[in-house]
Amino acid sequence: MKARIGKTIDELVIGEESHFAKTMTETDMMLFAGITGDLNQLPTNEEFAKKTRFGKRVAHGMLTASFIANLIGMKLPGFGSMLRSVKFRFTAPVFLSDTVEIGVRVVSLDKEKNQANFDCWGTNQRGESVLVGSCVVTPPVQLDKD
Amino acid sequence: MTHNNALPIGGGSRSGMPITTIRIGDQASFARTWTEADAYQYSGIIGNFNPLHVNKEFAAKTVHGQRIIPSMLVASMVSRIIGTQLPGNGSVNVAQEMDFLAPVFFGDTLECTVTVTRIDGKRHRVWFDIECVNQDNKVVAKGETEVIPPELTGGAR
Repeated sequence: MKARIGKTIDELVIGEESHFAKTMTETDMMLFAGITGDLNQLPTNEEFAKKTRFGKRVAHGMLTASFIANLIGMKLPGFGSMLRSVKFRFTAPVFLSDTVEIGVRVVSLDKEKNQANFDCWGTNQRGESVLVGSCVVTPPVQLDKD
Repeated sequence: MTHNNALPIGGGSRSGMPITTIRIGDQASFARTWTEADAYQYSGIIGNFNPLHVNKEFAAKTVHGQRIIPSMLVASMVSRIIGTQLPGNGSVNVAQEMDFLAPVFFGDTLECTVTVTRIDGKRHRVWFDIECVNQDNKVVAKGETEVIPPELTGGAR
């Protein structure tokens, strides 16, 4: 079985982007709550959420931010990439049933350290910003014994 | 003061700690073993099938030698502490920074601790330092998070 890797640092181009969009469903939120143990009532209890200033369930911020890892691990750089550092700000709440588009863009490359720096952002179906941030990634290298 | 107990099941719908009851230096911790089940279910939700996390043969050929737990899943331990312990229910994570300093392997046990470093009553914000250590007391992740504690104005109790 040949192990396929994503783009190595030499194959990445500054300015290159990748995008991914998903509708935030109850399934995502409840499974995320179960796996992480984050049973914060704001994402998981409709009656509780109604009484807050949001008025309805708000998705876990870390669930929205996790979609950054989808792009890094699957598309840019892709298979074999590892997240070293993340930094993000949630600029607006993501509600249950909102559709979020996440984007990442290569902003700089450090070939000596094998590190790629990315800008990351998220918008909802109305085009409003929900997330801005950045991350540092180690792109994949050619594998041993391959 | 330490806040190491998550809200009780069933009685857990009460709002978490309001900002006026939080003090600089307050801490909360959460420890758990990260399993294959966690990594695979999480990968399914996120749609991240990076072979580093889900392909044993691929991972064996990398410098790590084995599958690793996704970094953002480690970061989510903070979400769990903020959302269920300190400040608890109704808290909103507005910003987070994390450096992942060492790989976390399937079966590793991590303890994550958050400590209140700054409180801004006017802007209704609390800042926490984050540190996650593994079973060998090695620091695997460090960071900072900014949180809006629960607000009682909407009537949530």
